Amino acid sequence: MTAKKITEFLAHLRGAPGQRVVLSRLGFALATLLLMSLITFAATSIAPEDVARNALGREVTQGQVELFIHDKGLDRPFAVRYAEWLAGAATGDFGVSAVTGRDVRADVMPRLGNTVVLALLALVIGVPLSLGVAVYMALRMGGWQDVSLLAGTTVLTALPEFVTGMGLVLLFGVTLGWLPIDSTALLFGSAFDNLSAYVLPVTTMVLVTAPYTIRIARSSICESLASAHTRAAILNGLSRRRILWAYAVLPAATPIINTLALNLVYLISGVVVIENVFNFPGIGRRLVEAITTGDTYTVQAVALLMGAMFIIINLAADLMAAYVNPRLRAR
Amino acid sequence: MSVNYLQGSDAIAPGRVRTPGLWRTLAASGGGRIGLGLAAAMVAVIALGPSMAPYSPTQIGLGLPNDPPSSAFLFGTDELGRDILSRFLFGGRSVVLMPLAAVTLAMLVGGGLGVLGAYVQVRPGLEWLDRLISSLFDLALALPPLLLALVLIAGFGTSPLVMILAVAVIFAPRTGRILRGAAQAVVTSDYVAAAQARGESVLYILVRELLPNIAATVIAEFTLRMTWAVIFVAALSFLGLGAQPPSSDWGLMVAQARSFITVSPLGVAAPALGIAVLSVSLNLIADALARYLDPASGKPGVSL
Amino acid sequence: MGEIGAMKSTVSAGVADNALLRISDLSLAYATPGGAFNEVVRGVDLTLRRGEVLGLVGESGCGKSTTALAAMGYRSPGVRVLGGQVWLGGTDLMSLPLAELRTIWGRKAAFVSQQANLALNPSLRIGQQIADPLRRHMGLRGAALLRRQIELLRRVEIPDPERAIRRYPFEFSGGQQQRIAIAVALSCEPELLILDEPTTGLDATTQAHISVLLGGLVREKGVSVIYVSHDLALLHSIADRIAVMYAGQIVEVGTARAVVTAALHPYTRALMLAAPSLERPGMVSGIPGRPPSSTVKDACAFADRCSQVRDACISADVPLTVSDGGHVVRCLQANERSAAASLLRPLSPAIAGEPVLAVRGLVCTHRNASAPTIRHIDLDLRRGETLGIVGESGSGKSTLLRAIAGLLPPTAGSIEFRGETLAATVSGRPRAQRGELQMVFQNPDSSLNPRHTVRAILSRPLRLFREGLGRSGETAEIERLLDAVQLPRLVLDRRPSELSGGQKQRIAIARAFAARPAVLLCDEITSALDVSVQASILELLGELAAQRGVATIFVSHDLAVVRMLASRTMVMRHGVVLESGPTAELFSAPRHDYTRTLLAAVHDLPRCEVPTQ
Repeated sequence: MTAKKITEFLAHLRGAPGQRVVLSRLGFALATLLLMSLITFAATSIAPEDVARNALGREVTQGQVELFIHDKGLDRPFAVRYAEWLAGAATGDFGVSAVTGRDVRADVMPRLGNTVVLALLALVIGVPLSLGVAVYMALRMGGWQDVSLLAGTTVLTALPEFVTGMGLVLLFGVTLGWLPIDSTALLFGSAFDNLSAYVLPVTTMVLVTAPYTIRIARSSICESLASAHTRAAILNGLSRRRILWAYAVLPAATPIINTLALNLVYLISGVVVIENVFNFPGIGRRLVEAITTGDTYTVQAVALLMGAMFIIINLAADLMAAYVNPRLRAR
Repeated sequence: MSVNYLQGSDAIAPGRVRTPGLWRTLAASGGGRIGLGLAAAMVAVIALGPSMAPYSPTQIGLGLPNDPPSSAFLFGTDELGRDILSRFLFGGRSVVLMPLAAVTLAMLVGGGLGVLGAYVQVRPGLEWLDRLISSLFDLALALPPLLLALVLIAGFGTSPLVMILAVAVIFAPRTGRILRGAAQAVVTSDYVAAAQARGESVLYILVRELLPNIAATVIAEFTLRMTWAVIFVAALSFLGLGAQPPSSDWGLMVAQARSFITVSPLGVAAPALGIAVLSVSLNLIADALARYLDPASGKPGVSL
Repeated sequence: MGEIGAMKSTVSAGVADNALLRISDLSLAYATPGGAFNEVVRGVDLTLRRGEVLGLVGESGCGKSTTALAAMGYRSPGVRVLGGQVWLGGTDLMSLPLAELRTIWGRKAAFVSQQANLALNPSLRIGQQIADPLRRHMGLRGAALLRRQIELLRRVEIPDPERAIRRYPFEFSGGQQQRIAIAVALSCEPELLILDEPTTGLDATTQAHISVLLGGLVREKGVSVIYVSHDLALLHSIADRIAVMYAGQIVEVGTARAVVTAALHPYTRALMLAAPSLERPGMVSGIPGRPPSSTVKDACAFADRCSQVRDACISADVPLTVSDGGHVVRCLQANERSAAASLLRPLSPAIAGEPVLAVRGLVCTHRNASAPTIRHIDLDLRRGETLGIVGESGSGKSTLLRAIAGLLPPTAGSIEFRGETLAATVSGRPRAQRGELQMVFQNPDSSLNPRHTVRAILSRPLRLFREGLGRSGETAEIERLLDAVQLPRLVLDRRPSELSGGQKQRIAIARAFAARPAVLLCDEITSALDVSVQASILELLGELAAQRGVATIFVSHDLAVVRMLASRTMVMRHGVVLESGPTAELFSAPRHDYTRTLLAAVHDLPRCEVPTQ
């Protein structure tokens, strides 16, 4: 975007609801992104020798290391290398991996696609499911349906994602044999294999994220049901449906949206563990591989990509929460 | 005019009605009792396990690789012929100790900064320090936690120590923000104002006025943070980035047995169940503690 | 009070056949965590006639709000109906299913609760909230709906109603929010309106404004009203009849005039003696003890606080008896009234000489605030005198006290104590000065550390400011302090949570006196307490200050309290002093308009006719 376009955009925002909120959140998100990139680059390549040894393996001479450092320009000051890397990253150029010998971008992008499909599927199934269950529980608060669902969500929230995933593998893959025990089929399988490869990872993601959303949404709705304004609405004789949606659920929207945002954010980072449970060929799996093989450039690329997605989703959620909050929307 | 103020129900009865303490509240709720019971059982398994193990957890070739359960090897053997039961009984310690170290560190550093920030709010001229600490927390909280841990581990190497430090770095601002909030409520209360008006020292205010009043929050926060740390650390070990072979850490055990899940499912199931029970028990205790701190959270709503 | 009085209808007492609402033998209980039931309302019989305003008065926890909700046929969560009916017209609301109640609520009977800031939906524009019952009960749509919305908002005097309907509740002040809630309640022209402390928590002038508005609306719409309040003086000016509740029972019902001027129940009389009044300055007297937390069986519930108690009072339930003019009372001794103590007591005069405290040109600006909170305040305080400071919330009266106490460094001006200039912050003041300037805070829940025992709380100032007492001297001194605030030694090992609000405030006062202060700063110290407890605390404070020659600055929003305690009074608004002078003069001939507005907003009881024998 050119400077002129930015000015126009800002002028458009002026007078629009919560303009200052938008700008301050935008600035904060940019600062965070910059900090994330700095931490990533500093942690992984502040010591040129480590980068070289990671790339070349342990059995190398000091001469080979020095040659590598010189070749790759690792002997230049940190600030220069960081600026160069950042400029490259901004245009999508993350260099060529010294471990696999492949262009990092070409290696990562298809996997990013797989991950995004996985996360979106989990989102599309998980969000309506959690909201529906939460409203159902709030309406039956204290009843046996509510209590048993609450117990179920308490246990599910407590389980680490790899335990949940392994439980599903043991049940559906090993004991029942209905589904493949991992998702490697995605790399070369048929259309049907592709579909079944998604079932367990998506189910795991929903089982890991939904219980938390359900608990938060249920307690916010219950809190509004216990509030004085809901009692006032009842004593005004309003219909059950109107009270439920406008007086109980609507005031609970801010915490619910914040929780959904947390969920989304989780889908981006928690995907790392779940992909590794199922050997799912996404960027999370690639990141862990890259860390264990010392593939510095790939680590940098994936970390920056995932970090950017995390921060953008956080920003979007913040803005949305601000939008439903009447204090920020008014005037 | 002398009026006896001690008549009727305003009389101070010799028998005392005290608000139930933290421990009693915990034991009174169903969830809290189950949590305490499960936690006690897990602590027993983890603490006494090593002395009850029939074999060494790292001895290779005790039996045939991936042997099914038998009288010699109750849970069977793994791909290197090691006894799965012995590995399970040894593998719980790191699952508890690594998060314990990380959370303790996070609470000392983050909680210390948070309490300091709250305290300087009422010291004229030092408010900037609180703003600085809060901004640091905000910035740190905006970073993706798991990714941050992975990047730090990628940079500084895969070892338990690096992982503990990485987890502490991630938890410090989270814990700091909670404790800052709790301390703020105390610091801005009139009893601290009264202590200041008496001219009490900083040390007196911190130790006698502040600490007793945030102790319950510290305990609840510690438990809650532990539940997340156990999950987080186990996940990192599962990814091969925490505990390193030949350790029998439960997270690592699950990862290593993953490839042999069809022939030796107990190699995955035993450690996974161990982590699950530990984590569920901690969660139940943390929930009960949260209810103690905010008793109004469970008040009845209307039925529509 | 002329306009408010207009709310009263012309219904004469004694005619019961035109009843709109009849509550009969209603008993309610709260479910306890143990599964038992704690009865809070017991055998309540009440009749509301058409066009009448019925006041329901009592201390907090006496069951009046629970009764008011039940009068709507509403079953609060956790409340169980043990028996009784609520007849509205020919239907018993208690036996109606929820679906049918929904057609009555908002349409025939409406409810306004206290704390309008919580009773309005924060996420819904106020136009929507007014429209909801109109759509539901009247079927209004489109232009007709809009017209009605705007008309209602205009009627409750919300400025610019066309624009107001698109605003959210938080964009309005507390008084405006309560007026909007009233508009919602009256939107469908109900026959019955139940008001549950509708003005509690609002400033006095806002309260007066809303009362006047309500009076006009009630007269205009001919609606019948149950008005719940803890303020007997307010009800005297608004209600046709008053019912007094105690421990979940009705103890007295009669015309407003009869209940106030010829009270039959000792509790009603005690309530009036406890209420500070502009018209009868002088000390109030508290009611010893506090109300039971549930109903009492087989005895008079008030027996343990009553000065006229006899054996018959504690051996069986006391029935309601009817006397002249339909005046009903639940008391065996109703006709044998006790002698009321003469309560007038001269105020302690200032002791001549140099002022002990002198404030000159004090300015305080809060952090992050653009304008100063208080501006150029001057005041003098002489030994032994009590200076009252009156003002509404936001007037800067508490800020002034905190600045004097050294908790808030002023931006300009000086404070002199015995001729020496005080350091701005407390850390710069020598120990002796800190001991001689003591403060009592508004809310004892916040000013006493919940983790300390009473002994720890009282021994701390002794150790700091009364060095050389020694261990035994300290114990003796603590016991003397407890005697002075009339608490038994049993409390020494208790923590604040084990004490009642009044007891806690006594401890806070004892802590202040432990340091042997020359100046006592009191910041709204009774505003969190019930009127009967407030009276005992004021009595105590007055006695202690007089005995020990302590000069007091007493900050309050309650003019009657200041009238009673202070020899001189300052009126503050928006951080400046509008007027100051000798209390009697200032109250009888106020010079500033604002003072007159404040005085006009006070509802006062007429001179109490407690007969003496």
